[in-house]
Amino acid sequence: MLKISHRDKKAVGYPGTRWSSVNAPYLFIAPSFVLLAVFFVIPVVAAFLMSFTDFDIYSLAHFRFARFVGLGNYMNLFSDPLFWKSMFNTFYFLILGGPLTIFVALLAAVLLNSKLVKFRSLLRLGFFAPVVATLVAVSVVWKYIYDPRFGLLNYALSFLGVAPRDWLSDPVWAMPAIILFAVWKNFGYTMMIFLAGLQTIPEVLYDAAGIDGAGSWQRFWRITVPMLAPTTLFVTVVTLIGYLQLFAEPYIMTGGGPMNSTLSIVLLMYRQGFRYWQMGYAASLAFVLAIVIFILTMIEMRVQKEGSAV
Amino acid sequence: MSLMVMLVFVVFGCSRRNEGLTKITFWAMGSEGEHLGSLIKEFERENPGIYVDLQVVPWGSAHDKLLTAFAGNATPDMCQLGNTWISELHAMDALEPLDSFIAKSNVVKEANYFSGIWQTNVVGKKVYGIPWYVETRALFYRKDLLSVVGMHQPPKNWDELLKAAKLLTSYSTKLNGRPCYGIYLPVNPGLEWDEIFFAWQNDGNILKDDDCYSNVLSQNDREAFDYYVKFFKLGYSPMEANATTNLYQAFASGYVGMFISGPWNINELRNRVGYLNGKWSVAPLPVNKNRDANAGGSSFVIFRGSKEKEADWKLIEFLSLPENQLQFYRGTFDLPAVKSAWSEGSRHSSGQDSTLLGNPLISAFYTQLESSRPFPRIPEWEQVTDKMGQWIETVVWGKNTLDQALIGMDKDINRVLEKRRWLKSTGKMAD
Repeated sequence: MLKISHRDKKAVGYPGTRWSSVNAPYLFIAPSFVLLAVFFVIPVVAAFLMSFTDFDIYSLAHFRFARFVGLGNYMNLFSDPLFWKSMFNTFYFLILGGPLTIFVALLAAVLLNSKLVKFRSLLRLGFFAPVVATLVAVSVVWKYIYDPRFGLLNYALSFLGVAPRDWLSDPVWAMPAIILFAVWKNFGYTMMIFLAGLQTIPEVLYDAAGIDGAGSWQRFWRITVPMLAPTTLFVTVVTLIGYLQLFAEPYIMTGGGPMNSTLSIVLLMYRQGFRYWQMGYAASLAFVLAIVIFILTMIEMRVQKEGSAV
Repeated sequence: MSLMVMLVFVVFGCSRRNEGLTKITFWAMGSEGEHLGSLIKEFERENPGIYVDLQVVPWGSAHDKLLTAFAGNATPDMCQLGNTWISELHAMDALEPLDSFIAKSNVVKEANYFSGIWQTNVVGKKVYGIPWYVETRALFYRKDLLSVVGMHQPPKNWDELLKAAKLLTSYSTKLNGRPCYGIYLPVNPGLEWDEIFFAWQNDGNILKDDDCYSNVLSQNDREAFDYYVKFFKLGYSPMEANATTNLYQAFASGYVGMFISGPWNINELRNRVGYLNGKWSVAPLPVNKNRDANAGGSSFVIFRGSKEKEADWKLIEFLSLPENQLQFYRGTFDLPAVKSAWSEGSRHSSGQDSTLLGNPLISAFYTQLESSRPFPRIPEWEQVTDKMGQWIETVVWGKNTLDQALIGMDKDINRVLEKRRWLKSTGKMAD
């Protein structure tokens, strides 16, 4: 809260009584605080309390059917192989998909920013289209691309002599297939942010480097990358948070299978909460995920800040 | 401006209709709701005092909507309910028992219905739903291919099913010059329950002791699961999770020769691969010790909170009349729950039988419905079937032996049922 002493107010000619001058600010921020409380604080507190009970469908009928279980949900969670499996899958997706998305996005952005490329706005539209396309619609298309018998991917690979495989039904290949789909779907958004970042780099820097004899690779590495550091930090954090909450892609494409190889944490949470109505268990999952996201984001910011300080 | 006019219209329209009228709110799902309009109009004509507010809810969001409506005290008067949901809503104490209405009814009688279907609506000793339309699973097979390999009748028992799958696999593979399969069974049967039907057909049960404990380690269950997995181990069924995206194509091209599914696929096949008409047929499931499959479909329920239960019941009776059941079938192709509706209809002078029973594709489902049975009516059932499907899948992929998987399955199911056992032991649950 900004502190304004009584004398200051007099100095700027504040009219009115003591009461209103002290309380008016609270009145102004009250609506947003009320909204925040009703739609954020209360539900979060309720969910937190719920994570210590076995609240389920029986409890929906009679509240007395809910039991206080202490840390029971959390203990069960950590001994549940499905939880660890989904944790593994989510990180698999993040570690492979995250850098890939950022890399492809940067590549596309640099390409689109270059004056040598023609039809830039058309290309930009093409790269960004998957972001705004409905996920359900494009995943139907991708299901056909991955089809073992009529699929485009197998057809293309057949020219390289690669044997056809059933991408989405194979426990080993389902996650890579999901990652490829997610990268295609999401890189356009990251690319747009990179483009905006690229346009803020003054042209004179490149000109100066050019006069000094720097090649295009050096200019990219010594000027573009460091100048983009703040953008990269933002993009990395957003991608990290977004990808840890992987849900819609496996939900539509594979339903978490085969053999739970594409089951993500949020998908597991959805199953427990809205298919099985194990609300207490689902709430504990949600809090574990929130903590994981918080810690990782903290580490991420720390690392990147140190990196850019050097 | 136009918005204002519309608003006035709505307000005016409502107030006029409500005057002295009994209003009942009825939620119906998806295409069922869309085809109900004309029947509702007829009902309102016959019952001038009642106004039905029909609201169509998409299937995908119906489940969430119902539960949130209950939590928010905003349930409709009556509703169409997938009959596997009855136990959930009953567990929440949301449904009105209908026994007293049935006792005085001339239209709705237990004897008019398939017994397995009727049972899905009974929890404890009370009836909570009246069957509306029904479905179960039967065997779709390529008649032409099967007769080429020397089987002129659909498989009648488990051995014949295995044999048919084997013959079709080798015949189609040779014919098409690439791997083909005799039958499509899901690798993870969690959403299609085929492994559960096999267990029932082998006199097994998934749960025991009042549905409080798992029974999957029993000999009968084990044999059935072993039979299920055999189709994959012998290479008669494809290891594909999403064959269903192209099931009709796969069936038409001979990639799979048989599959187990519900009555809606009769029309799907006609519409999507019409050129195949006459080359395929439907048979009741092969018999082992019996041929049981699930009793599915939708029922009418009345919510406890309804203030117009007599009017609700009148609508249920109206929609349960055989002629109205048949009219509804013509719109939606949902099979009627009332048995007499199946033989209703005209016999043409040409001798052609236009009743449902006169159609061999559909009458296969009649036979199957006669040996259909409800899933255990417990709200945890979805979790149980998911767990079973996941464990079966690990055996199909060779990650576990059947016995390893069954031990895991047994443990998981028992964990899911823990709350139920606790409620039973404390006597908190009524039934």
